[in-house]
Amino acid sequence: MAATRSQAADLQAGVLEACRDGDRDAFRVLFESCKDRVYSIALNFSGNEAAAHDISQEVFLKLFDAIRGFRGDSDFRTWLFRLVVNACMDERRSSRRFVSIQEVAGVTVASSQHVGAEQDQLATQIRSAMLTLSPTVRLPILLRYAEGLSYSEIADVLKCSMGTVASRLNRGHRLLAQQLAHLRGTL
Amino acid sequence: MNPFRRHVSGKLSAYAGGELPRQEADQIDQHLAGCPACNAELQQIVFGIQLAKRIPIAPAPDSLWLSIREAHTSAPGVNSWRLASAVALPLLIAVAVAWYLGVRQRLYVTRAASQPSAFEAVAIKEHSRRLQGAVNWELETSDIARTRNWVQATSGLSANIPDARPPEDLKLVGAKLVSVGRGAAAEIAYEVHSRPVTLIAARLSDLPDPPREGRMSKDVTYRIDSEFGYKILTWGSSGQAYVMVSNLPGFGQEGCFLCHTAEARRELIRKMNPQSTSAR
Repeated sequence: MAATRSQAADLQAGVLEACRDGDRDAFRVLFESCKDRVYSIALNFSGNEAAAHDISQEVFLKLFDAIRGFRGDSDFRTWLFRLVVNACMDERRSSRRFVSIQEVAGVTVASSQHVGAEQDQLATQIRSAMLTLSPTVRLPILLRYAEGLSYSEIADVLKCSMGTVASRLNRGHRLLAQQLAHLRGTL
Repeated sequence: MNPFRRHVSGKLSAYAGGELPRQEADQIDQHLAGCPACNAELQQIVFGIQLAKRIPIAPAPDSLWLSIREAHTSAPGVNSWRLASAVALPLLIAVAVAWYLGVRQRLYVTRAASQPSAFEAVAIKEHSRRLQGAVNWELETSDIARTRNWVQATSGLSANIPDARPPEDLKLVGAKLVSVGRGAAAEIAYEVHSRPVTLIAARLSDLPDPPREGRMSKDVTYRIDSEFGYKILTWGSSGQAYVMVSNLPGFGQEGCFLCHTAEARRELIRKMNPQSTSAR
């Protein structure tokens, strides 16, 4: 397992190095390796496929432009998610005046990957509940559960203390539980 | 106060998520054993965590890469720094060379030992005719831009005469084409301190006996015409040959102010000494 993690780290380092050298194939490899994570956060944050597309595009354009300056002083994942968080907040600021119909109606777009009607319904409800959380609570929840970041990593990404992360997650958990109380016992 | 009696609801998410140090987690265990309120709160938190763990993961659409690639190629992007450096470096070098040639380039002025070249002979003849009023200018103007453009258009030679110059500077009179060697040369007439100066520019490759062209220095030859006492300066630069005839003070170096307008360079030119090489 340790060897595998080391190999993965080496591979990532090699890809990042190639990206810094302007290798377009390496950009594609890097994109493929993190596109779903970036898009998922963007979609769950915005609740809107078009906005998620824009956020993701913005993230990768910034990533490709700035990667030459990435020296590995911080973890690549932390750096990437910082870009995602910033793009999410930028998108929210720019579209604040234009609240989507889905948000008003409390209905979010369904994932294009339908596994089953029940799961789809659950996903829709969770996504809707997520949209009721404030962005400062929504982001740590997404980083924690969509990406599996630790409290410490979330604090790094959001540039806040671990205490703040703990507090926001606590609030998020409680709010989700309240919003979806009718699902208790069905999970 | 017994610390275990203080409610721990603020730490329950970290507790449930395994993010607390062992000792702190143990304290919460002890508190939960005797606190129904915090236990109820923990159940709520755990349910919230279960929900959060079901946040749907959505695969990125295929169109994402296409749009990124499109946006990336249409805007300054990944390789913009390379492009910038590819453009900036030669530009920087060009500016540095221009500055060096314009301000700091070494000047070497040597007295001519040989007879005037055919190129110089033409200039002497033209200057004499001008002083006799026997020259018909093809372009008669004091306008610098017009003169510069006319020379370029009619002869293909470059006349690098700056527009911006000190007030009360020299005055342009006119220009015409003259035949020198295998091609056409441009003759430009002007006055410095109301004294006439005649400058002829030709292609080095058109001349049978061209002046030496210094690469990183300007090698100027100075001679005094034996018949009329004109002061004649001749040099080559950037593929062009120049000869300048006048009766200006010194050895006529102020005639160079037509193209040299920077005061630092002018000061250097004023100090030129044809008796020896003139360094910067």
